[in-house]
Amino acid sequence: MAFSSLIFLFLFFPIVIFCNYVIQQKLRNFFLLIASLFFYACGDLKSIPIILTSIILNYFFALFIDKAKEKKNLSKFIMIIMLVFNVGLLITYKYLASNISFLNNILHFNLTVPKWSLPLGISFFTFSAISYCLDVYFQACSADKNFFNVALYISFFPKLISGPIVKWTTFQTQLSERKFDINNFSKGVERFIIGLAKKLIIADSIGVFVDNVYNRGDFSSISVSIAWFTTFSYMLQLYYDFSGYSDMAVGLGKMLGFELDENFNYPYVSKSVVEYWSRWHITLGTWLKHYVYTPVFRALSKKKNIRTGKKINIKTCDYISLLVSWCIIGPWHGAGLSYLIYGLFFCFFIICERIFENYKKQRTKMGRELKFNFITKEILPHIYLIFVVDIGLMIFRSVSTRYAISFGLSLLGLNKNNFFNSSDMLYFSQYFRTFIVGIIGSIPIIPFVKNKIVKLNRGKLIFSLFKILILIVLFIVSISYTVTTTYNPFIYFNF
Amino acid sequence: MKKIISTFFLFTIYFFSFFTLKSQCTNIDVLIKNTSKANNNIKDFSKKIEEILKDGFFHKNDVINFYGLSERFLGRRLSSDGNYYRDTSNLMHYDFPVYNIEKFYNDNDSLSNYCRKNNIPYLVLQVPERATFGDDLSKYFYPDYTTNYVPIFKEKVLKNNDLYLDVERVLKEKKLKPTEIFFKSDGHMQTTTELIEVQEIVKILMNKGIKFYKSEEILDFENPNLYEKEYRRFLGNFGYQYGKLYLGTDKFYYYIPKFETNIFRINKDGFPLTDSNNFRISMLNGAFNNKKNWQYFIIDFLNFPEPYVEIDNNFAVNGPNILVFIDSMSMRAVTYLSLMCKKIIVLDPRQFNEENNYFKKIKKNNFDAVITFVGHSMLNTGLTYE
Repeated sequence: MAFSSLIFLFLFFPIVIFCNYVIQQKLRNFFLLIASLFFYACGDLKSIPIILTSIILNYFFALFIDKAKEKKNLSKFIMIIMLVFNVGLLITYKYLASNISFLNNILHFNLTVPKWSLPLGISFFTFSAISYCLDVYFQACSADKNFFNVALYISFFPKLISGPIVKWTTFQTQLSERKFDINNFSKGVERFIIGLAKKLIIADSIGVFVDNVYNRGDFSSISVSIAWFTTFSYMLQLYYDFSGYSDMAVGLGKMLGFELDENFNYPYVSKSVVEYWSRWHITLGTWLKHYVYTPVFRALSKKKNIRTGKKINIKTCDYISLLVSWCIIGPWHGAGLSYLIYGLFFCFFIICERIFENYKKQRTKMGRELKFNFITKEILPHIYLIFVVDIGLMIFRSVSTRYAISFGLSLLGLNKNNFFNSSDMLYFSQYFRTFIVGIIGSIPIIPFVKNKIVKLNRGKLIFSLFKILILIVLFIVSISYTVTTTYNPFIYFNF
Repeated sequence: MKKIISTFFLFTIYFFSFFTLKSQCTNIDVLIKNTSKANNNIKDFSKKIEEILKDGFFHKNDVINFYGLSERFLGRRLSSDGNYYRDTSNLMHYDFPVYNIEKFYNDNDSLSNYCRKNNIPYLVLQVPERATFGDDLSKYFYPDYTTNYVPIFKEKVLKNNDLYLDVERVLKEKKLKPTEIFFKSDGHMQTTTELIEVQEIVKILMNKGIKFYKSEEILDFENPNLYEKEYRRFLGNFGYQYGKLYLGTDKFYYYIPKFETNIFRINKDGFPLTDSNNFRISMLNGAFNNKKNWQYFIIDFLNFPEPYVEIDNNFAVNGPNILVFIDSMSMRAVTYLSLMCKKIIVLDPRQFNEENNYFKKIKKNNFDAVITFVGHSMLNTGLTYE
């Protein structure tokens, strides 16, 4: 059940919101848990036993880790079992079938390929569960004895299928102390409508064109100009699809009294890959920083080099920790080799940027500071970022490495393809306005305009009225899209 | 101020939820009963509910107009999943499939042989394609059809010494605009254009010595003493789905004879398809049931789609007996042709299969003429299955 479906908007959600405000406060968490499990069942009934097993086992893992906190080795042992279970669950359902097929194809094995499907949202609820247990292990919090609280944290429906990956410590306090006021509710409504419009009006519309090109398979027939237009369009589609979902999740959370973490902060205005990843899928980046990068970095920095006997260089620790993190981020999205390449592709640029930053610092120390003008400081880094992300997402979108290479060749005009085909103008004219609207919405132009208007006399009132009008129009148009168009699941439902 | 948006949001979702469910509760009741008996899981059930909500959404036709407005604002001409396009003059186009045309060519040759052997005039009518009326899209989406199939087919027909009517040429001579010839929101021709077809057919066949019933009088379609001209607003099969504001509406004309008629239709087994012999009811069935509905009115003619329809005109006892092969492109032309003929047998080859070969069954009839209306959807069919 997607947030943009009619069954969610006009059946599930009205019931949930009504009951949430009508029933007694002490029953609300239990009610939301039941609603969340029903929501999950509507999307993937077969995987209900998997999510329930994950909830029950992680609840006990956390309790045991908490009880054994005085005995370090025991708590570490339970933590390792917890990691083996959760990571094993991910590997089993996400990678096993495709890896066996891969082995059968490459090494001509005759292994039976399991026929189970990927449980909905497994990457997200597993990461939430790991986060809870690791927070208990690192003694950032103690285990919650209330099973329903833990179950609701893992399965809370606004964030269950595609995040944001909220930390337990953030969520726990809201289980007992939630704000229910009209201001918060209204903010939630605004975010929800914006997210709905992002998904239906921009992402799905551009998606028709992007899918049309990517589903061709033979990329030699597409011109260089359409190839670039497609990759830039996909950047917008993915951003609007995923940030639209996140906006809706945050909005729903607010309407139910929860504050979920932000997942996006205008990523395409970044001027480096490092900055981009601090603005794109923020909660995944934060999760990996907390639970992968930092522990690996700490562990490495304590170790000594076998040859020299000296401690490993801080920079080397940093690069290795980054490599480990990115080897997780890529495959976290999917089982194909292209996802691993996607992760390593960004890792390469991040390490390059780190090296360049270190070089700049060295030059500054030596009194030979590198000097930048407006173009080299503001324009060129931005162009560099857009092209790196564009190519990265082209790899991400391609169904296999072979497709990615073929598409890459078409981008460069090396696929015996023309620079421009006669039918290209049709595509440009069809999607040009949506593309422009997409670009405008992906840069912080609205906050800028708001700041300018608010400073004027009665500016706040004018802005509020204008905003209400726009939101009402967007909501009505979005409903018309849900009624008219065919079902388009969110891209991140696949992960 | 903040209350406004919350109130509007809640009001909207509860309002549509209540009225949509109210109108669809019978469907949902049936669905619940069926689902509890069957082995369907909750996922199928929720999918089915989604379909029910989508189909029966409260004031669906009005709601999707907002979709249309938004698409217009975004300058989109594409209205479907990549198959339908709208050109600069507001006409819808279909991205043509690749044809397997050999079967059609061969069947046309055998039909031509059959007519020659039995000394029956065989008229091939080339239905005009909107793309050939000079819009830019033709070179993208109609290359094979307009540059290959039509000229090659014409050459074959002329080689067989069959009669050939190029309607496109006639319409271009009359200097009609594409929007006057075709619907904006649908692939079909306007009624007025199909009436020009009828006039041309009668002219050609009369030259071959065929006498039509009161042709001079009946062909005067614009005579207000003979026909009452009524119109409906029409959305076409694309527009009905995608919103009238997006595609714009067409005027769809009905020409209702003021003179007395006695026509009825029967099916392949000889059973009447209508309970009246009045042209208005028997030939335009359903057209007057709901004047406000933006329906796809092509289906109101000849009870489309049927593989076999026989039209008997009891007044035109001296009129000709004609066999026609058509697809939906000329439903109205044949409807009005029937006013001047004693009998018309209408075969739609798109509905044929090996067992369902109606031509084999009727080829011994004494036809005065055979007409094939060649439009793009006919090219993937076989005519005779011999």
